[in-house]
Parts: sequence; C-alpha cells; structure tokens
Amino acid sequence: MPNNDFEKQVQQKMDELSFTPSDAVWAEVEKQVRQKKDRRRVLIILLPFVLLLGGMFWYFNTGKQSSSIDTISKKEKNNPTIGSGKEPTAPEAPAIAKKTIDNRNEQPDIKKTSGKISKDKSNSPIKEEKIQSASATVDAVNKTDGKETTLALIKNKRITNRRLIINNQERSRKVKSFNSNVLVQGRLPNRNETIIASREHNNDPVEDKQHESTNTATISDTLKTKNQLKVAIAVAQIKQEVKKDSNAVPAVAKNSPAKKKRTLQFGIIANAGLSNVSKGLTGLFNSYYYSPSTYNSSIGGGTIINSGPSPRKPGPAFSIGFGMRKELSHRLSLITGITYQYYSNYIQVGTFHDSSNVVSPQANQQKSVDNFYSNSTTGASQRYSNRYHYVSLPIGLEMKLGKKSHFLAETGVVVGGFIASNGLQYDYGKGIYYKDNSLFNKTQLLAFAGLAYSLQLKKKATLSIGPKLQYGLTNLIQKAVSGSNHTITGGIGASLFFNKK
Amino acid sequence: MTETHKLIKDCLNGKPAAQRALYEQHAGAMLGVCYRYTKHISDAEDVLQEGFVKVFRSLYQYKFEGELGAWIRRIMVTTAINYLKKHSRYQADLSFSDLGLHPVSTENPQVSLDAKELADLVRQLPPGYQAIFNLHAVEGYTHVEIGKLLGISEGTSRSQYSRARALLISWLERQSESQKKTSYAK
Repeated sequence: MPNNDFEKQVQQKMDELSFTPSDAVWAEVEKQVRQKKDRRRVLIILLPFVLLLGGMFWYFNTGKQSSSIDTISKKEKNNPTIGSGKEPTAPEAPAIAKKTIDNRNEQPDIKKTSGKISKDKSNSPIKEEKIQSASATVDAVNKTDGKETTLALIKNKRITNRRLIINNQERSRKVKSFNSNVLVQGRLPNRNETIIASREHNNDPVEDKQHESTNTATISDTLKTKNQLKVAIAVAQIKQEVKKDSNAVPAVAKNSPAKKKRTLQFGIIANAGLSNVSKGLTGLFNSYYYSPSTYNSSIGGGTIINSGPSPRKPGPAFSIGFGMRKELSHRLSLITGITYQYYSNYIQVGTFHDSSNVVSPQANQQKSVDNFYSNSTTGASQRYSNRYHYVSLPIGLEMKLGKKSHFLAETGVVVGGFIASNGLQYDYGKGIYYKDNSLFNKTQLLAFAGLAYSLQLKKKATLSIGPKLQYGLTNLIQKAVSGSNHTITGGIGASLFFNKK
Repeated sequence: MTETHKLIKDCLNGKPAAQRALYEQHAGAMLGVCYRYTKHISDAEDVLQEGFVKVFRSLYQYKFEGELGAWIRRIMVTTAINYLKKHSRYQADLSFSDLGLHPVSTENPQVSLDAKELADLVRQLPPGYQAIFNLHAVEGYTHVEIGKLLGISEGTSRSQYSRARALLISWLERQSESQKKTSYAK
C-alpha cells in the first residue's frame, strides 16, 4: 500500500466539497416521503373496514353453518329422502302412524278420528313436552257401545303401519311450517268402528289456535266422562309411538351433508348518474362554490380581488368494472371488484390564456403555471367540464330485504386511486383557473349505499339494478387548497353476476 | 437530549419542519458526495433526492452510533452506486477489467487544487476508475468491500485503483508544472 498522504489530502479536499441543491430536489423528496405516509394512512383507515368485513364474514359463515344443519335436519325429519334423490315411499316414512285394527266386519268405517302432531324447529324428539301439550282429538261418532268400543280399541291397538305424509308442495311454500300427521285408524272387530286420531299443528299461531279450539269443542262434544280416560290413554300411546319415530331423525341429519356450499360469482358492476363536488350530501343537485364570505386566509393564498369561483353544476358520472360476489349467508353477500370511475362537473370559465402565470395554491406557496383561464365574470364565458378519472376497489355488503324478497340493500366503501384529471383549480388571489393535478388527493375513500331489485335471468345470471348514492369521505382536492370538498354521486347502480354451471 | 436526537425524533414523528431542517443540514455536503460519482450535476441531484428519500424512510434504523452525517453519507454512496448500475449511460464506468500488472506509485504529491477542481479531475478519470478511486481514497472502503459492492474481485479493485491513482498523480503533476510556468511567465 502506498503512502497514505495523498489519500489523506484527497479526503480532506473532498470533505470540503459542497453544493447548494436546487429547490426541486427538496420538493420531490418531500412529495415522496409524504406519499408513503399517505399510503400508510389509507391502510390504517382501511384496516378497521377489513377487520369488520372479515368479522362479518366469519360471523355469518359460522352462524349460518349451524342454522343450515338445523334446517336440513328439520327437512330430514319431514322427509328422510330429501337429498337422496329418492321419492318418499310408504315403508320408509316414519312420522305417521297408521293403525288398523283388524277388520273382521265388512261394513265401512264409521268415523275417523284424526290427530296431527306438529313439531317446530326446536321441537326435536327430545322436547316431548310440546307434543304432550298438543291436544288430541278423538272423535267417535258411531258409538253404539261407546264404552266397549273405545276399550276394545285401547286393548287391541297395535300399530301395524306408519306412514309419513309429506305435502311437498306445501313444504316448499312454507319452509318453516311442516305438518306431521298421525293417523290412527282402528276398526273394531265386531262393531265396525274406526278411530283415527289426528292433530294438525302448523307454525301459524292463528291457524293453530283455531284448530285447537275446534279440537277442544269436538272433545267436549264427543267424549263422555267414561270414555275420556280411555281415549286419553289411547292418544298418549299414539304420541309415544310418534316420539319413538322422531327419535330416529337426528341420525339421518348427522349423516347428511349439512353445510350448504356458498357460491362465488363473477360478473360486471356498473353505475351511471350525476356527480358533483360538494361540502355535504346536498351538493349533488345544488351547485357548490366558495363564496367570498366563507373564504378565509387559511384557504388558498393572497387577497380576494374577485367574486370567487364559478358555481359547480353536476355532470355525468359512471363506473364500470369486474365484480365478484360471495354469498355469506342466505341473505347476505359480499361484493368486491375493480372498476374504472369517472366523475365530472361543470363550471363557467373565462377566456383561455396560453401564457405563464404565478399562482398561490396555499398560503406562502407559489407556483408557476404555463396557461390559465380567466374568471368568467371578467369577460367572455364558456362552460368547462372538470373530469376526474379513478381506478377503484369497491367492497360492499348486499342484504336481501326479506327471505324471498327480490329487493336488496347494499352498502360499503370504495377506495379510489387517482389516474388523471383536467380539473381546474381556482386562485383566489388572482381570480384565475389553472390545472395542477398535484393538488388532488391521490387516494380517495368513498362510502356508498343503495337499493336494488334482483332478477334471475334464465338461471344463468343475476341482474340487480337500483338507485345508488356515493359520497367521498376524503377530500377530492387537498383541504388546505379548496376547503372541504367531497365527491358526491347519485344514480343507478347495476350488477350482473353469472351463475356457475 | 441533544439537538440531533430531537431532530431525528421529530423527523420520525413526521414533522415536516424537522425533515426540512435535517435536509438543509446535510444536503450541501451530500450533493458533493453525489457529484463525485456522477458526470452531471443533474444526475447528482437525482442521486441526492433518491438518497434522502431513503434516509427519511430508514431513519428509524439509525442507532445513534457514530455521526448522523456519516450514516447519511453511506446511504448516499450506496444510492450513487445503485444509480450507476441502473442507468445505461454509466455502464462503461462500471465495466472493470483486471489488467494484471499495475503501476505502483509511491509518490505523494501536494494537492494544490481546491475541492471542486479536484473533484472535476476525478470525474475525468477513465471509465471504471472513478467509482473505485472515490470508494477507496475518499470513503476509505477496503478493496474487499469495494469488490463486494461492485461485484468484482479484490484484485481488480486494487489494480483499477492503482491505475487511477497513478493517472491522477500524473495529471496533478502536469497541472502543477503548468501552474509554475504560468507563475514564472508572470
């Protein structure tokens, strides 16, 4: 290694080397550092939403899983062949007991006594108190010898066959309601008597009440004091039989694939309507502008020498993109996607000047612009369309307003990334309009809400259409430059999701 | 708490005034560092800008060991080398060839030039010499470190440096001779 004197000299000299960097360097450094900070801020804002959506997803998914098991087991109770593709057959049907007492006599049945025992969702075989609380009707009309007939029926009763009658059509109409019919038909060997115990119970309380009162009346009319006990015993035994049958149900439910698969659909989402820039929600139809009285020195720079900028009038807006819809539960779906969003509004400007000027977007800040528009009040006036282009990520929840309703309510947030704009800024000091896209907030957070009517298109796709309102939670242009300014969009929203084959 | 500590803390809290103050404190000297590695002042400013963005983003990594200026300087040097690697116009400056035998100069001439003149002279060194000369003679990097940084062997770094040194000394001698002649003529 050569002597280091030379290196030391060079080092000393070089340490003295210093230059003054241009202002643009710091401006760019500051911008880049700020950008990262903004990105972090957006992430912090989004985090609660993501957690909320995740929580809802988890809640509805886990909650629905147990409820779907319930539903299926309920269905299985009614019809164990559901899901197997088989038609219900008499021997397999467990819920209805039909008892026929040996008919030695050729005479036709005299009277039927019917009793239908109902079980609601919670009325599983374990809960027998509901069955027990159900009143039974025993109607013996032809009681040539009431005592003996009933007694004989009790003594000889033996259930030889049970049959579950399921009214599939009714079940499909009324998912919750189901009937369990228990028919006990007893024919007395000698006296040609047939007794059918039946009770019908729906989940409909009105119908149920009516039925009960009818039953009670029938009982009071038909049961004589001596028969009462015997008939009650008969009914109790019938109930016991039904209970035994019902006990088999949970096994069927356990074996069946209980969880319904949640569907994921892909499609197109679009909105069209009007947009404006507003201080509040009323700004969509009312033009928004700063009046000199609302303008103060903290917004913009310079002194006011003019009557303020032109009012803004609503302009067309639309968005279109790809969407994804995930069913979280029977009524709730999560919708997301990626869309292109376009907003616009109209202002009145003066003549265009293709010459440079110095503007003050903020206090103590000056910028040179290559061209500008004069204020419309100072000369000729023309309409100018401020256009804003964004790429957006909507995340929303869609809820059916009723189990079988076609109406949907939807709400959510949209995160928008600024792409481009020809939007003009207003310099309050000079009363001129100029372009400066660096004054836009690059990331927008918007909230939306709407209603929609949903249609099935030949089972191939689902179309939802309805009114929608969207409001910017963040300012479109930096608040320090333009005060409080939020985009507001109102119009029709539509989505078309294709069903999986 | 020292002023530097407070300044760094404020910068970490995102205070623009503190960031500006930190920048103002070091920007001049750091532009000098960037200037030595590049051929144009605009490129040096680009490196400075990139370097300061890195400084602010990784300021939390500064452990208050050693001077802040030295820490920033290391970031600037690394940024400058990366800048050279990234831009095609500097590819020639990073094409090193091991020329085997290299001159060993033991001369230690007096450097009478001022900082800018010396820097400009270093910038005129042939491609491949400038970065290695700066890294070794000015920043004090060892040839092993230079080899790792530039992706070359230690021997290549050593031979390039010797040539750069010899060339620079000959230029300095020639310059001092011409200065002498000029003073005699006067």
